Amino acid sequence: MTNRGGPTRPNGQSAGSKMCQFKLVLLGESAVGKSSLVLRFVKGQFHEFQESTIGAAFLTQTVCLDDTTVKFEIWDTAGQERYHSLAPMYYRGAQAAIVVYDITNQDSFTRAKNWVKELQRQANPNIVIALAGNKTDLASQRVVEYEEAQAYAEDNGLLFMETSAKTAMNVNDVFLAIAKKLPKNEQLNAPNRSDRLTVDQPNTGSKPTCCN
Amino acid sequence: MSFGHLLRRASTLLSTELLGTSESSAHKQGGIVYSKNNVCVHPPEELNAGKELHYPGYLCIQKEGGHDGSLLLSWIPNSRIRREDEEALRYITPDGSPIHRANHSEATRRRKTIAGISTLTERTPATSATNRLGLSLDSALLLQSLNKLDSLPISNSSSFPEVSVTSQESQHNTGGFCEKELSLCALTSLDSRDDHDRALDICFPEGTLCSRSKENYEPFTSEICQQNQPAMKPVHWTFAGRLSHPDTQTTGSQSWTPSDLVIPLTNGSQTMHSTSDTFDAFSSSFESMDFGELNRFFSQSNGGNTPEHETKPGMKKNEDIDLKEREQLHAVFSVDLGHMKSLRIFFSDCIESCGHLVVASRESQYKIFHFHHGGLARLAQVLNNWHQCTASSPLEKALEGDGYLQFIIADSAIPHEVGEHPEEGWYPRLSRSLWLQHMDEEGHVMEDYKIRRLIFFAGMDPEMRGEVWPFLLKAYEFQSSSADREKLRLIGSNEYAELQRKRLSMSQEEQEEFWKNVQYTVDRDVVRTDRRKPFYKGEDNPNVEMMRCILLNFAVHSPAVGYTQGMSDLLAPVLAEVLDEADTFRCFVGLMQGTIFCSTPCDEDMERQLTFLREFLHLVLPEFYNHLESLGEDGLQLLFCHRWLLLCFKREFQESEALRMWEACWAHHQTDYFHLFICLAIVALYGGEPVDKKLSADATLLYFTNLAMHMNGEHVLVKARGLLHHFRLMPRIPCTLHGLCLRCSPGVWDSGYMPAVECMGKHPEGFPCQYSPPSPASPVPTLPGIC
Repeated sequence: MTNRGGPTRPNGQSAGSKMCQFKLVLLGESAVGKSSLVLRFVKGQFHEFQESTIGAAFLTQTVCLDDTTVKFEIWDTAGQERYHSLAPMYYRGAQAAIVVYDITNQDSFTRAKNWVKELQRQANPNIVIALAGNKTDLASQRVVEYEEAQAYAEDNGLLFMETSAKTAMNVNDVFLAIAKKLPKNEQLNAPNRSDRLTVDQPNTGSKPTCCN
Repeated sequence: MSFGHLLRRASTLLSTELLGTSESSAHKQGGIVYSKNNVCVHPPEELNAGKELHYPGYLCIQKEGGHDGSLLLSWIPNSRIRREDEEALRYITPDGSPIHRANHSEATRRRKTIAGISTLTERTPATSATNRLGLSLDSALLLQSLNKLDSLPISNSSSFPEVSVTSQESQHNTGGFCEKELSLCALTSLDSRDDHDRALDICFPEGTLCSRSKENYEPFTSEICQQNQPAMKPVHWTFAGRLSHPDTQTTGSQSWTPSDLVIPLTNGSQTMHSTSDTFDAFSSSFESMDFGELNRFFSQSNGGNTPEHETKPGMKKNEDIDLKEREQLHAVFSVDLGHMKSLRIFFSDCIESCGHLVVASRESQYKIFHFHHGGLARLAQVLNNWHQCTASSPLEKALEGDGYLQFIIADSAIPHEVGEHPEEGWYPRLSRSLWLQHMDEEGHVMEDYKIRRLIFFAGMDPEMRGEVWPFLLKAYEFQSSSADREKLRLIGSNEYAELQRKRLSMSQEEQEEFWKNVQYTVDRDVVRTDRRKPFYKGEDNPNVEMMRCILLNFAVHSPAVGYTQGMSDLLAPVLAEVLDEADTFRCFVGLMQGTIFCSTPCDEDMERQLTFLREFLHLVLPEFYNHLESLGEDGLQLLFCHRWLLLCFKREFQESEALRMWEACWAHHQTDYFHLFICLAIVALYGGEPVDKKLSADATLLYFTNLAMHMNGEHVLVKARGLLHHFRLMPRIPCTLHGLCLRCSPGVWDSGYMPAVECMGKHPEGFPCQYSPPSPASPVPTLPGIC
């Protein structure tokens, strides 16, 4: 684990590169593939039967962008409407959000639009929002047309991509696109947070010692 | 041959054998230092419906180990002895007796494990007690003869006198009581063998307790005669409400003080009352009785009119009361006196050495034993000579003065830090043979609190889950018979079919609504729940469909609850164990109703849990709490433990360990909130790093997320049990945690666990705290830090 207390603590990156750290939240209807997108992005894995997210999941991943190292702190959320009341806790202070829908499910697209509205209304005003139409591997069952979603995204100033966590299509790209769009001159530390500790690879942290 | 002859012959043979073989055993391991039959427990007020009922039993105190050993007090209800209950007989045939000698090594092993509240250590398969005791033909003969008495027809049709006695009642009743006593004596006569035995070889290092010479034996007949004297009528107390001993008066409903209770002693020399009855004396008195009376006696004591059967048919008592009755009146009560807080003796009649003994645990639970037939002074003497306790005043003074004597037990054993639960490691895992031992021939599960305690501490063999979980999940009552359960199963199965029919016959509109609110998510969740487990593996696995149907039908059954993500995770292991769809459904209903951990984050339930947890952390792990508090609002959201609560640790531990935790929570042993103690234990064991490194709220969540599946569930459970024990020892708890104690069953004690509660302030305006003191409260002492 590396304690990233200041801007001059590269993490295996070339010396002198800039370090940026952003909080990113994934939102969307349940079972559209939010956790699968994160798993693909962070671990390069895909589980056919990815279990539902209960409570909050938190992961980090670092991407390199030219001379900048961007660290994402990713908050993966439960999709069911019943967990909606927790969402503000997750997106509070987030600089980026990926709103995910399932291209084979019209309702999930509607729900995505509602999430976008909520974020625009309540989240950080400078939040970068990406819309991701997931499950392109199921193109034969498509009900949400690419053009329709793209038009909606343009109207609302969102990044837009169709993705497939299963085939990895566009997964890294959507995160990279967000990284590019995020202002790099922002303070390293997220607002109100200091002495932040980050982990580059999940499950690599040394096992905590028992305090007894 | 008359019955008296038969018994006398049996007793003679028995005593010859016992006396002939027991000389060498000088009770190196300790032995019975005191025993008294017909010591009564009176049911709490809500159980006795205004009448004073007596539940007599055999009380004995054994010395554990050598000179500095502790004392083990056991009370075995006569009803259990009558039933030849294996556990009961174990207590009345201690190691030293030749009857037990063949099993000596096992008995010794058992004894070692007994150090506090009674243990369940049956490892042997269910054997008939008679067969076990058959080592001695004579004892078997005795039991058989008693059994014969049970089965004899009633020759006298007159109704048996009531067992309940009140002070207003006539001689007739008192006489009835005596008869009852005699019968019970006959039934506890097995003890006499031991008494015979000990009469010769009892050996006390102190020497002072060895005063039991022959002349101290008071023949039982005399006791009966005394009973018929009006002056000797037992004195009865009715305790209003909860008991409290005088120096820890808590909240004000009770009005019980020694002066209310103790009848002034009359002058006169105190008789050293015999605490055991010689067999000969017993049989001679037995012989002198009218045979018809005897028959009435045994037929009655065998289930006719005894207090435990006095509930009027059709009178439905609520479940709690049933539970209390089973635990308080029909369970063997056994405690290590060294682990208690105090013992009090109240003499109501010093000459006859009558009165009662109040045992108070360190958790401030009480058990009261009524000595209507003497024996109390000798008990006082035994305690007086026991080095682990200090008497409040000289014994003589109590006997001649106010009749009140208190023994405070040395508290050197009280841990100052949160350690393991003292009962840790005492209990075997629930196995099939143990389970069957707790069932009578009709399939009632007896003493379920013991089963639950065993599950709480040691879990169960995995193959038992399918059978036992439905009880833990309230699909069946423990006290139901096999026939009841068969009936219930049938009814349940029909109801389930009806639900399914209802779901499938919804109107188009309802169906759409249902699909949107429930089915859509259920369909997506069941296919990704536990799919790596063999039971749910593979495409088109019918078990997945079964899980789906149960969830959908549950949403029809409880539309207000519907479906919440996470339910499938809770259901899947239950279905995989219980297997039958309708049975699992009923278990699942119980799970949803009975558990606290299934809720949505926005539910009041969840918020209540988190509030308790915050207060708990504040109390027990102040360092960790202060760290969270320093992080601001985010920290105290306790995001890192939302999933722990929602899925009851399913994703934090390997399945085998997680299911152990489920069972431990479902056992509802001493607390209904054991899951919170598990949360606390996780933080206690693994929460050092977030504090040391001052991790942010996000990083703390990440830290605990990364720990999932890498924590040691067994350690966590041990810690959680230790924390529960420690919490229950706290003399005072903050009002914010008061709710945690509300639903605890008192178990074998007469009073529930209810510590003093102290208001912590911090209540919203308009919601005054009932514990708010008139003057500013002193701060509640925090437990010593764990780290």
